[in-house]
Amino acid sequence: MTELRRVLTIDASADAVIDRWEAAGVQQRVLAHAAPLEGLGTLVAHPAPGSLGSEVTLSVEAVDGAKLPSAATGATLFEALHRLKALIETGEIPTLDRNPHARHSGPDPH
Amino acid sequence: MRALCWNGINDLRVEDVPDPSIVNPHDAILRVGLTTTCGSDLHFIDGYIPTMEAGDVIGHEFMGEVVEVGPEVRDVRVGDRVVVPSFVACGSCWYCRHELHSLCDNTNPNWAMQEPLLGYPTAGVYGYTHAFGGYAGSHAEYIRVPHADVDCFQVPDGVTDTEALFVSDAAATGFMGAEFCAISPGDTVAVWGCGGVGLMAMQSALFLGAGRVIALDPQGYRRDVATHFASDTVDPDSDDVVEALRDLTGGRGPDACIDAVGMEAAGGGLEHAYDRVKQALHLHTDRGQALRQAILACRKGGVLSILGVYGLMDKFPIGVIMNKGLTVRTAQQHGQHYAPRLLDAIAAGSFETAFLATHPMPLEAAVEGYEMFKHKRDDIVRAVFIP
Repeated sequence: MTELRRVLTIDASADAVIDRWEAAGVQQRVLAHAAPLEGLGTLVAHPAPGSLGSEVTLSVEAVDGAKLPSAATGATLFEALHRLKALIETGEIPTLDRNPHARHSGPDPH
Repeated sequence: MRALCWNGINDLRVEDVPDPSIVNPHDAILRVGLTTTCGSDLHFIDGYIPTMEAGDVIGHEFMGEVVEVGPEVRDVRVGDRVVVPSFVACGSCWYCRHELHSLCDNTNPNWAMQEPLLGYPTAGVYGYTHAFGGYAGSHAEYIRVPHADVDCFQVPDGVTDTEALFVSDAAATGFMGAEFCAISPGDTVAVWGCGGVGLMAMQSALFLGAGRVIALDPQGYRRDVATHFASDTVDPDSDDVVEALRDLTGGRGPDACIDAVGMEAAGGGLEHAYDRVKQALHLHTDRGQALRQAILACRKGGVLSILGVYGLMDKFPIGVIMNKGLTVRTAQQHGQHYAPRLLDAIAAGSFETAFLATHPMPLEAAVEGYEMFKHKRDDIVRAVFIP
């Protein structure tokens, strides 16, 4: 079995994190940068120490010798967790959509 | 709209770019009133800080008028005259709740790009590399401000646009740097760098009770400006800095030393030549002579407050810090914490900022403005662009 995982602390209860993750359209938004992972990620949340919220682990795994999708990297999981954290803690995901620049060809590179 | 764009090392141009628009529900759009150069811009203009993209709109120190707000903005109104700190803060995360706004968890859209550089991503910044978020900067007619209710500060009626402008960065950074020094009444504070941030740090040190400020800068005209706050000045090019500071402090050394210079310190001698060669070969990013001097000159048990922007440096004398028992404090500015206090102090007439704006000019002249600023021509402190 091949597994990739990343963990991040999110300021919400474990139940609230899981509820939000499973809400309609949330995984689509959170994984917008890594669409092939949609539906493949497993999210687990445990209480963090004190009043810090929850320690949230996002993992993807491949079984029976299969390879992980190329979109599955530590960086994409890390970004997905941060996008979920921002959505839960602030109600929005930071974005460079329609970010003004003078490149004249195509969207912002990031 | 018109905007100043970075197109490569030392290649700035005023160009046409699309207008910004509301993207997220807490956004506001500002018509930029005033926007100013910052010494930290020179680091990516000169190519020492990576992750710029050709066509990026630069600028991160600004004020203006709100012309549009998103559907979930509650407090900020169209028509408000506001100043905005350079770092974007969400106001909700653990770091924002602890007044550490430049460390905000939720405003850098390029988290994964910055994590390998710093270990953990910080807040986004306007107009300051893609690792720091990639947001379009303020040297433009309009700018999108995320989390407007957290990041827009109303300018009081008695405060001019020019006075408010520097609350965005120079004044907040300088004040934070002085606060780091935990000043006791009568303390002596030495400040390396007599640019906007250094001058604000000097004024802040006096505001917080320092008995004396000593200013260091190789440029004579900048030392002259500093005498507004500093009782003594030192030219690091012609004086032995450590010896000069010992002489000025009865052999004790300054109680606190503030570095407001950063990675492109001017200087001379073998140490500076070594830094320049390694920087040119991209073996390290920093010329750290000012910082090393501050470490050596500070009294035993004193405070070293680092405001200058740095990347990677070797020959960093950590053993001197350890053996002298120095306290090191540093951060990018937590402007949201300082803006209300600074605006109140300016309105009360107890804090000055407008004198930094030595060279106001139209945005169309911004390329020339940066040339003057970089080469310190015409006794410039700051170029201020009027879009």
